[in-house]
Amino acid sequence: MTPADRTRTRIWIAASFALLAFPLVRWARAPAGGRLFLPRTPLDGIRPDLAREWTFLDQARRALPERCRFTVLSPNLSREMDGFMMAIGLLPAAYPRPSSYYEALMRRRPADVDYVLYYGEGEPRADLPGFRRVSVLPGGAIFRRATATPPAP
Amino acid sequence: MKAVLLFAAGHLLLLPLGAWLAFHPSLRRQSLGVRLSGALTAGAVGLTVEAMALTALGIRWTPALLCAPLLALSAALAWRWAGPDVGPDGPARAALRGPAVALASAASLLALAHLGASLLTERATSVDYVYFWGVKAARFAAARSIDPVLLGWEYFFHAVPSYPPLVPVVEALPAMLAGGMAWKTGPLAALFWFLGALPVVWAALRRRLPEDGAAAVAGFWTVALALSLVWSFSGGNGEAPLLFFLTVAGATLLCERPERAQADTSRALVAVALAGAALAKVEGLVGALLLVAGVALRDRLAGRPQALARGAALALAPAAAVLLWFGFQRAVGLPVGYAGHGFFFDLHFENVGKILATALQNLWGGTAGLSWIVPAAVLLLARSRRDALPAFALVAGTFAFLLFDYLHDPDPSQRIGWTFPRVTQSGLSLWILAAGVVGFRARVGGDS
Repeated sequence: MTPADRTRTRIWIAASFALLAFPLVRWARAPAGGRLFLPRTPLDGIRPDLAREWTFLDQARRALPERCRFTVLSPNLSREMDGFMMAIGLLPAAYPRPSSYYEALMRRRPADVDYVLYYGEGEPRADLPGFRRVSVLPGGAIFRRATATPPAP
Repeated sequence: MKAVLLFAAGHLLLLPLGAWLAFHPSLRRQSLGVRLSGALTAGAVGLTVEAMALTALGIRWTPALLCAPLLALSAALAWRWAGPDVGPDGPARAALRGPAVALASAASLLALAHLGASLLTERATSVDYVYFWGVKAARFAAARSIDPVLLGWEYFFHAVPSYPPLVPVVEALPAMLAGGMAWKTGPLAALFWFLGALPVVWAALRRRLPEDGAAAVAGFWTVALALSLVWSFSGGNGEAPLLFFLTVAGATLLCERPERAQADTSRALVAVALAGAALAKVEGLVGALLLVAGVALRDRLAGRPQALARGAALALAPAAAVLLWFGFQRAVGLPVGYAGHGFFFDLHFENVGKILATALQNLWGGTAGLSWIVPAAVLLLARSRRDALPAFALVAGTFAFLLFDYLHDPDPSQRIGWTFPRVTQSGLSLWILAAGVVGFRARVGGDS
């Protein structure tokens, strides 16, 4: 190895440690006790707002039959879209039905859903005739159709 | 906990599924780490091809059905290729020791710890993981197929159904084994893919550089890319697999020794890795073709025989992979091809300045741009930059591709912020490796 190559090696190594200063600062700035923790959702570290919605959907999932038909409602249409996208994965065998898509309301509410996952405080933005609240969860509630629906497709 | 372990085991299962490549004559004399990387490459690609074939035939997956044919293929080819070593030499097997190796390893381990801790605490998770990457995997596992009904559903548009299927297929197998997605563990797959590329990077650099120099450049590469994966929120999406495939192919091609380029290249590994890139993301095909074009140009300028023919041969694998995906789309009744971001020539040229400025800001890489700047300085000072051409082609071509893509958007700033830091990571990977290759005096003589 030539002296020049030795110098180059030192520069690359010094640069590697220089890069490490950046995450060091980030970890040091994290609040004490909050640096290492076991997350409750896949979103805890990046989007606490979405993490709360995820928690609601995850809890709702446990109360729903595997192959049910459901929709997600929220007073905030952006939240509704987030919830719809995440629920498709959290309920992988169920049949999702959108009530809105990218903040555009459907012309008619999906007619064949068995369950409405309502994320938000207060009451749903419209009456849910034929549905009754069956469960209240942190962040929202589950409504279930009181009357029979056609068999799942 | 059991589900998490099964989920992890499902990822490791890719190794035996692709073990045939580890026994290929061009890899048999390489280090165990390189052979394992080869097995991972072939396992992921083989599983994806098989998943497409079974779905197109209307056969629902089971873990056994997915694994048995690939395991049988691996066993048969390993048997077939057993025998005296005929492949090219691996890098020197001298003991790795000395202060340079120790310091580079220490820096790498710190960076890997940062990446692991960030993924574990969900600080590096991509939101797209819960919007569609993980969603596709969960639904594919539940449907036991690359669910054409889901992909063709108008209200699944947000999940970009035309994306090639490797990442969700590879995640669906562990999900089937575990009885569902291990959502919180899923982003750790990025660490798995990243670790998979490391042996190839180190071995390739050792082929071209002095031992200490190879360790130093590999250390810088590890730190820069680990930080970038965290900074660009690449946990759980397709970025880490794409980085893996393009780095495996790119490092192998970049570090070919000029005097024996034909014999040096582990061609089977490169071909399968390029196919993997094309099956991982839309940008993978672009990256693979740019890389191959750069290699052909480099070889042509170096006066190597059959440079263009060799480049064309390398391009066959990613092209075939994408044609296979398009053929699958056609077979199951999905729209064929990739969806664009608008009409092809409906461009907003008034945004060029804004796009360039925003893109430049997003080359930060979590290191104030140092990850790009240090190799750039080395490349600038190098006596010859010809061997860096594959990296130049990939970086320049990716930037041009992204610029063209962003020009379709009336207001692209937000999308640049979301996509540019992660889509440019494969370019950063080869940018660093190219600087290492041209910055040091080439290693001469044999491998040992």
